[in-house]
Amino acid sequence: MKILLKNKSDVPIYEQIKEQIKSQVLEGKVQENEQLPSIRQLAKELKISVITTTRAYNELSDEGFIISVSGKGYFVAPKNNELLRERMIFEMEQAFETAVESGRNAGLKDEEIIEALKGIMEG
Amino acid sequence: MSEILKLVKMDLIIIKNKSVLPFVFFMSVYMFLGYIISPYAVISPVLFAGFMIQPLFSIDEQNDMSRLYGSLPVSRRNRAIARFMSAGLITAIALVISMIAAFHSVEVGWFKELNPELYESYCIMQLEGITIGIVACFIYAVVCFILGIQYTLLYLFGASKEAFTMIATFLIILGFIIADGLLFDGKTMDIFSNVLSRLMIKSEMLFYIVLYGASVGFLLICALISGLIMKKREI
Amino acid sequence: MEYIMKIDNLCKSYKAFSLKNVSFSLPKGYIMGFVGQNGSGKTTTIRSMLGIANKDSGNIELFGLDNVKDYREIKQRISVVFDSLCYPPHLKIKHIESMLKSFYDKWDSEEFHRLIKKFKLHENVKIGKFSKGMRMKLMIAVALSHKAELIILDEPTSGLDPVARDELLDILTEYISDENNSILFSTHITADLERIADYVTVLNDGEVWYTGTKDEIMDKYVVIKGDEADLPDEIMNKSIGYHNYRNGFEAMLEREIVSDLPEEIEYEKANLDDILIYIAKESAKNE
Repeated sequence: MKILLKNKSDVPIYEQIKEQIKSQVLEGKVQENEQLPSIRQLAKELKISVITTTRAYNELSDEGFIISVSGKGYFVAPKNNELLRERMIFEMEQAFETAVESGRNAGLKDEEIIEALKGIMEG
Repeated sequence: MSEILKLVKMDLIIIKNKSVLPFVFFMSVYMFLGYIISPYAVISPVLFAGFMIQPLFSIDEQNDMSRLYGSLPVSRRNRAIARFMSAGLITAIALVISMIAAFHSVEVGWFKELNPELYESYCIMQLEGITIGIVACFIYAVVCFILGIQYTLLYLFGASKEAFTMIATFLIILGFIIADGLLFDGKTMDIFSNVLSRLMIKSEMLFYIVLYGASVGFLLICALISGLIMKKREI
Repeated sequence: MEYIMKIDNLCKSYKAFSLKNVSFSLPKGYIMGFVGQNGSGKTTTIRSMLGIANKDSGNIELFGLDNVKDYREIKQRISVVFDSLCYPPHLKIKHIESMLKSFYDKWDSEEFHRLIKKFKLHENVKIGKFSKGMRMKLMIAVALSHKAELIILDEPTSGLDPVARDELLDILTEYISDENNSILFSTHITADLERIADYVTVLNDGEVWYTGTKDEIMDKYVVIKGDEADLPDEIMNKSIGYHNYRNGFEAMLEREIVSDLPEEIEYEKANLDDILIYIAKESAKNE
């Protein structure tokens, strides 16, 4: 799992870590149940503070993207994980909202937008 | 005690790589000259041995080694005590080497032909009981006395004040002799000489025991005083 | 929470300067950055911890042990890295090892040599000839060779080039990846701390100005700029290090008050450098 930080960005580092792990999970770039580096290992690799990585992992775990197994570490949540599923559905709805708005801005009618969606699903 | 020995080892490692060569050179030159002059002259390098470790104080100061000592598991008191032990040890080693050389110079006997007057005084002194061993022991005592005072002053006034403490030591000793002369008519010095002569005559062994004991004892007392100074010292 | 270091109301007076009631603690397994202007008391605090300076009053506990009574056990378990070489410069690495290893029960000779090799330090050169970066790495190699659980660094990066600084950060983050290890890191190079420090203690004029998590202090203050006329008096009074220039004023403010600011006043996040500068300006005003 690769995480690339932008030090000069305004986005706090723990946010950047969260975003990158989240998108890798959602895009399926990491396998479910894959083990993540430990909090301290990640801090060492990224050369950042342990409290920062702890916070990122805690929030990711609360949001259901990763799970913590005591004694073993952190793992990518399995896809049947309820929270993760809900989250993914939420992401899908967000994407739909954006798509619908874009379509309407382009002047398409709702039926045309639905046609386009069907086309993508079949193609 | 083992902590003190480790500190002595540290002192020796530091000084070994700094002053050994010039010192060994010095010692050899003096000893060689002594072969031509008199066995008593062969022993004089002992006088310089103790001063060989004086750079330890300025090295401590220049590199702010109190930081290193502060991070090591040692007490300030033991640092001071170890310094005195290093001085006593180095002086003792020089003593042994120069005594062996002195006895050897008698064997070889160059001074007997080259300096017959000195040879004569040598023989007279031998007869009076002032053997090489006794002179060496006496010199060792004097050196310990001087170093003891000087190092204590260095701890009192700061490691950088080498010149000052040397002069001060000399003045103290001089002052002591003068005061004795003025106040007590030189009685203290007389008592000293009497005791030493009596011991010498009675038993050479006793002389050694008393004088070596007193030397090391004096060093120890100075060491303990310095230890106390170090403990209270504001840095 | 286990504290590796607890300093409680440390007081130490010199003629021109004193530490007043300095208190802060470092939980085990974390890095604390120790910042402050030159002369704010960082080195004095560290020297008091080590017993190099005699504290006037207060308690210092390391590993739960008293720093005066139990100094022997404490010093077996800590290492200190200073801003300049604390060994005689005419010695070589082998002398340093032979000098120091007998003092530490847990000295690991193999580890020492592995580190010397890794840092590419020459074993047969007098250490006085080492560059600044090499000297620092030597002290680090010694620090890491006796299984110390706490490393204290007193401005180790002063005078180091960016490459050497980065290498040091690598070493420190590797060290802290073991949760039994902790670090106290005093420095002027706040950028390093902003990255790797978990906790920060800010000293100003011998007193603790802030101690807490780095995240908290990085979020707590903003720098405000604008026209003096636009600034309400109550806010000016609450600001820190206020100064009016010809082009406008500058000051530091707690983030919570930002909502009361008029629109004309600009603000942006204050980093550690800013914080130090503004608290120094505030102190200068109060003299």
